[in-house]
Amino acid sequence: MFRAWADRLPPGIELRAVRLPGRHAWHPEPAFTDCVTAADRLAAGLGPELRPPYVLFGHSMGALLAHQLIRAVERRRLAPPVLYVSASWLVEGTPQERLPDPAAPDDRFVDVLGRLGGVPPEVLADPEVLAFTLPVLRADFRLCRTYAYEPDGPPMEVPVRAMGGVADTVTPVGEMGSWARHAGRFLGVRRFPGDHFFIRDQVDQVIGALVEDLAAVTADVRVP
Amino acid sequence: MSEATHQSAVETMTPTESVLAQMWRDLLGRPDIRSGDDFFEAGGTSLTAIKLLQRVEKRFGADVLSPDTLYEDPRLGSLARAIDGAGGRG
Repeated sequence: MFRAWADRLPPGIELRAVRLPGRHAWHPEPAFTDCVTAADRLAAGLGPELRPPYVLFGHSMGALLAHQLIRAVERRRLAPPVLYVSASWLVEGTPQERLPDPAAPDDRFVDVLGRLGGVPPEVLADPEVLAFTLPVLRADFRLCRTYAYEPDGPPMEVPVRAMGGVADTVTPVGEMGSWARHAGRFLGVRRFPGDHFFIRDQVDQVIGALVEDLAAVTADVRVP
Repeated sequence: MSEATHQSAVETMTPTESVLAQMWRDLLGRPDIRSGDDFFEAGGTSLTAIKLLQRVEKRFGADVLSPDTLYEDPRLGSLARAIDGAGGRG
């Protein structure tokens, strides 16, 4: 998903994409089964690479993990990011019925997955391609289910920006304002054309917004 | 190069290459697959690439061929070497 970003980012910003285990021969280690453990492992693995100033940008489950990663970074007293961007993810999480049930049989899982969007119909229609894809997606949705919203959790010190697609029915952009209650500094909600997967079609606009936010939050941060 | 050595250079495939070539013939619908052929130039798409990865995983093991390898150097001989190098079961 972030491959398209590499040659669009302005010089001075380095892109590092995180890929989870449980992804075939990319990362054949077993998939994470809960998001707190996942974030802890990410913090441990990324530790020395989290050099300020850096941004954590996540889309959907990636935003869930980035949120948990900030918690893990705080616990480990590592350098926090200068900005956290939650794209297509609500701080409250997503009601389970809006996402495919990882325990459902293939046909029901694929049916809900199809309504969620993001997976091309030709993938959903091909048993052999599904056999490759479904185990990874099941693990992802299993991980999403382990997120526990803390309504009274302390607000993050990291500035937070929310981004959403105006036609998203899974994580509606109208509900993203609640990130404000969990951020010491909330930069607001940016609305983009598109649905839950708006960031795929709005690459230039999303990067433009990100660069703008980054300039705003680093204006008073001296870069060594 | 003499005709004889040319012939043998074309036809000598490692066991892994032969198995891969059969997968390519089946997926791409082409009889003439050689070890220098490029999967995508030979008609492979992102969808047939997933099918190839799925078949490779079933035949050789789950962790022998990274999708990145397939996209970086999609020649049959290179994929076979990657599989052999990763200890793919024969």
